[in-house]
Amino acid sequence: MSEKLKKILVIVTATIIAFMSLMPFVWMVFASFMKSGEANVYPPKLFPDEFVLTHYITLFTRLNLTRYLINSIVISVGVTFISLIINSMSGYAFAKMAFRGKKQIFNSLLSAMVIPGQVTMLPVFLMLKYMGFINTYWAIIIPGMASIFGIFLIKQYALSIPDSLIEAARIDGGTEIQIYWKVILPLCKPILVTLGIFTFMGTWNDFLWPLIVMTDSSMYTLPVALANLMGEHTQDTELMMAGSVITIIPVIIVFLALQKYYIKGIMLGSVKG
Amino acid sequence: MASVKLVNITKYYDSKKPAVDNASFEINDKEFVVLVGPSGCGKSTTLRMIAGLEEISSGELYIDDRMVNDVSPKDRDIAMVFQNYALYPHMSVYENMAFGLKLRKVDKNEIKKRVMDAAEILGIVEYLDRKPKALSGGQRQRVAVGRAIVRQPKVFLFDEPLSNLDAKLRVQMRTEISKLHKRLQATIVYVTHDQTEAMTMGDRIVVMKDAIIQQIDSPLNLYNFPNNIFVAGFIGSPAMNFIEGKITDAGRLQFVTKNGSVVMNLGEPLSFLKKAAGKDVTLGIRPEDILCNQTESEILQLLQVNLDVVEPMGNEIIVYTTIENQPLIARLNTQDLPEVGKPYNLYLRLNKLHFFEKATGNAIRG
Repeated sequence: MSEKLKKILVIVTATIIAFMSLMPFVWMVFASFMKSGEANVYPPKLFPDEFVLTHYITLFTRLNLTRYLINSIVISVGVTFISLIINSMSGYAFAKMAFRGKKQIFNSLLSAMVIPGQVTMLPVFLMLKYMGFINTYWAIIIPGMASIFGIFLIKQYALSIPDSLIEAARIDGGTEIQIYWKVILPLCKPILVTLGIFTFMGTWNDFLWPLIVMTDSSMYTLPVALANLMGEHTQDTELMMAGSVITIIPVIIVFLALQKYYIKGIMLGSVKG
Repeated sequence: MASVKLVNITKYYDSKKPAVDNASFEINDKEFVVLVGPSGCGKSTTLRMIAGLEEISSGELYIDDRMVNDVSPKDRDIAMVFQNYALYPHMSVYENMAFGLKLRKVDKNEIKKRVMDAAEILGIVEYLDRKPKALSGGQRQRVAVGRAIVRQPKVFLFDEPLSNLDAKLRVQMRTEISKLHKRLQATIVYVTHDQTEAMTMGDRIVVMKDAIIQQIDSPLNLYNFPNNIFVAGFIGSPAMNFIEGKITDAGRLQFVTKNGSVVMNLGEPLSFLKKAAGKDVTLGIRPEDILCNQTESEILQLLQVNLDVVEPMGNEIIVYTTIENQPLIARLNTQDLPEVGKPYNLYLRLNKLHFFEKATGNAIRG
């Protein structure tokens, strides 16, 4: 009996927590379909009286959201793919290759992790400025091309790949690039997906860095554009909600599509890492 | 197919003690050579140097009269089977076997033909579409062997391929690999720590210990004429018995145990031991060269003992006793179960005795 009671308690608690965290999202979606002003009435409403698409139309016509969406997609996809390649190459090298100073380099990378990102913002900004990358996609892609955390994650995972597999591939006639591409990468798939989701979400949701390096409003990413919207249209809650919906949809799609591997990656990492 | 020649091959991991010390031997075309020894003796390192996975610190390695010290593994025309199979987990059995050929840009139809041939030889045709994780240990090992076969290499290298299998499967795979060797007419270098595997499979056996080659010979020669006390104790199961003592030559040539409790008269066939008179020696006798009755026409040495343990195996009885605190094991071909604790007569076959110098461990021969 008490077992059953426990189960019920757990389920009820979980439901309440799920409800509380989902509620704002649900309201955001509904509010985005409300008529102007309807979201701010008292007592607050959950469902709109009438579903209208006005705000979405405004976003894509008058407010140029398509441009921001493209910016966000190019940058996030670019950063994700390039960083996956570079992180996996260096993680694999740190895990499986013998070279002089490997330990020292890796340790100095790890110790660099304690430096907060804000400290490096100004120097990186200045460097990019001298290179002429401000207001280009490169201003976000280049600093995101490699991450110490990503290298570390892949290295730990690659350590669990037996040496004999790499040796077998070497005897089978593989060059180092072929071994990396045809043996190591496929085996690292779960951790690559996990890191890919982290990177994609991080880049997609990043606000501060794009705000710093993109001074030209046509280069804004969605979060920056959305924040700008807030400044201009303080009262227009429904419009804001519509912009937010557009912003989170791609992240949700990516997450749902890769969820299966993501969970596998986390678990594998925890057992083997 | 090809020959492999090692000339003074040495491997240092750190500068102090070599992992392989001055190894020289030649593996002939179509020969099955087994490297055997206890763990850490350098046998795997030797194999990995032949494969090109470890650098050679000094010495020369030839495959088919071509020096390959600085040739990368893929260009040595060798194939290796690993202890943990080392199958690519993300590829099907077919892809695993075809991988090496694909990398070498072999024609697709040719790949298919070779993989099918190998799969047929090994009896794994029905598993070609499966992933390695859906196979049993024995099947995986077959795939690993198949991956080596399809490449049609000059030399096959096996690194303890059977040690992850259970005992029954190991025996089965052992005969299969032997058959395969005959069928493929291949040059094979095989590493194992199991002396039974070495004895049953090898044309010749290289016994290693502490980075040094102890003896290179055919299985029967190793068994009958071990060069030193290590080889004598390593080859054969149960292991050879050793009794420490001294050779004396006061009128009659005799072996006297340390405390003098046993004195053996050494007859005519052992007269070469005169040269060892006065020296400390170790006497070696295999358990199967100890008899329990005197029926044969050989010269025997009676040994009266008290048995500590008696193990009836059905076909034979294994008895355990001690001589001056040194264990003595005998395999008796009898059905009469001896009694524990009572005096019992054992007979050593004099012409099967081995003698080793106490100081060096080397065999004393005529």
